[in-house]
Amino acid sequence: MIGVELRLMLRRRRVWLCWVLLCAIPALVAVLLAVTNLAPAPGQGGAFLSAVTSDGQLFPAAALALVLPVFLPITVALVSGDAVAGEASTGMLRYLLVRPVGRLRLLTAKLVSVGAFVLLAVVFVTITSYIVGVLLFGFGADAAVGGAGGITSLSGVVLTPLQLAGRTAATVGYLALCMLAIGAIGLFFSTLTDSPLAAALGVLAFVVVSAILLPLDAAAGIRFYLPTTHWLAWIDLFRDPILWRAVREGVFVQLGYIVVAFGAAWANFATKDVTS
Amino acid sequence: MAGQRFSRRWLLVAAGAAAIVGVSAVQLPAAALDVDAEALRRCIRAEVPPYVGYAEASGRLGLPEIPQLESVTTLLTTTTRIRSYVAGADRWRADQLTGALGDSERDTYHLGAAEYVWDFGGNQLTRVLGQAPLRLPRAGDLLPPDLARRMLGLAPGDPVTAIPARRIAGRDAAGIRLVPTDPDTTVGRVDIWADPTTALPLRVEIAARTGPTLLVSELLEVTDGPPDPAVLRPVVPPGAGAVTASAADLSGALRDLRAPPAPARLAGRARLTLPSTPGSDLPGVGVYGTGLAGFVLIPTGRDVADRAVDGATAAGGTAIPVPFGRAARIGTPLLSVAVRSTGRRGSLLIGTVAADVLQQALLELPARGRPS
Repeated sequence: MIGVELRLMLRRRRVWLCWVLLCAIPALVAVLLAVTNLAPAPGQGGAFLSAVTSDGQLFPAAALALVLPVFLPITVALVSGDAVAGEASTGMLRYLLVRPVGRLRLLTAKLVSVGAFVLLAVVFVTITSYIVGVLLFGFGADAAVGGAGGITSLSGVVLTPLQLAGRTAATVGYLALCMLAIGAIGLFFSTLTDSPLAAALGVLAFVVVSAILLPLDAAAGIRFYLPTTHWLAWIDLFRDPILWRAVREGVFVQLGYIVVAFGAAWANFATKDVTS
Repeated sequence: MAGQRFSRRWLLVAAGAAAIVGVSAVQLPAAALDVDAEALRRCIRAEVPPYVGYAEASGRLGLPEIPQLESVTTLLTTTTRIRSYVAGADRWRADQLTGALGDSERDTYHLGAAEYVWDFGGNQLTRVLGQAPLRLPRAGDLLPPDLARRMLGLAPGDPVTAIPARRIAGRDAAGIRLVPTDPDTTVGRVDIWADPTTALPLRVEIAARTGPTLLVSELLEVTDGPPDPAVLRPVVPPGAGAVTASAADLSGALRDLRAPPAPARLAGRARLTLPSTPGSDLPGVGVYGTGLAGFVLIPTGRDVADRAVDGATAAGGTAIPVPFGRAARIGTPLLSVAVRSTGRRGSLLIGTVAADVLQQALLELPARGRPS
């Protein structure tokens, strides 16, 4: 079942279009930075963007920060919102359920498929932006110390290529988890409606509300539970020593969303009358 | 039957969500601790226990943006994330995790007589020479141990009382409350919770005479014992700048070499004598009052003063009638600010006293920047 869903996901052109667009947006920013040599001042623009012109190896971090707030959630909303509602809108869902497959297994396969999508999306953005960053901006001066591949951490300590690879892998895993939480919410919405667009818009509305509440002092009591609160915690992986607290809290909250949203999807879908 | 299954499933989901929220929200109550408040105060002031920690300091002072003092107003009006490595009173490092997205860092290393500042945004390590008689507040000052020692040191004779213990950073912390007796100060109470074994302050709350707590600083994670010596060694990464500067040159808004001397008295308070070393003078800067009822006079340029007057007025401040130029004051429950722009110069007064006191001081300043 999982293999079927994964093959189905990989055969969809819109999935590949999402990945291409996610990789193209940071590449466009990199080209503009390289052509104009106008990097934003520290603290302005996207995270790490001010530092990429002096070390192209920081561009994957900057690229992930660029796609994280808007483009990545949009693509995850589209794919996860389509997971069940897409089948229902094309009339395939009832035929799918005629097979001797439990609804829980079907939902699990759908969630794994969404997870594979977000993981591959983050991996593709990381790899393409590393190549684009190094090609356009080169290795930084830290190559003299850490060898080609070393970068300066936020704390000033030079990270070796091995350390950089480890921290980048941790970033990829963390962001994939954050997006999987959004995907799980999308899966739940997808079981509520037969319209993939409505489900996707529901996810985006959830993300927007979370982003709106985030800076409000009045929402301080629930800030910890907002998913977007923890999206930038991975930046602490680029300090030395690593500051794990925010990452740890982020993992806890995102896992909580995955469990609760997937549970809600199961609770709703398990007894739902499927008519289309 | 289907309805029952439906209910049971949703009940299970609701129970799971409640359990997840509960695990993160429930805080264990602290055990009752019997401590001598005076003894704990003495221990806090006397000792600098080694530790490694992570703290968050939240200020709600409602200050307007003051030109050239943005770093200070940011500290007092937002949440600051600070990581600290303390081996002793003269060997420590405090990292301010900065940037709108948290993607920068400003680390201060204090190693004996030497001080270094690493700024990721500026890609530069600065070696700071000497010590200025006065400096602007920085993130490290908001760490609970530093803030507690400073507040207790400013009011050594005021009484402290024990308050209920709290569970902080996974340990029971004994609490003491300092209530300033000086009627001139805006500070109403300072609550400090400290580890009863090491006397390491873990949380500090500062409130005005009335109203809620306006400044909270808490160590959310703490490990006793000295840090790895390697983290106390500043490094200059390849490609980064390495500069040396005197502490006085880094005084920013406090350093105005053309400023007239500060008056000997303002608002009935004598100017304190600041320690001075050659080359570290801060002309025109004066500190008045003692303890928690003090204020500082900072000379500024006219542009800065004009923008500060505009900012204070826009933030709900009150215009002060002056013979020359413009002036305004703004009083928050904990901190008051008064500013005057006159001729080619300006003056800024800021302190933990009532805005009326600062207005009186401002009106006593010589007109057009001439010394009295």
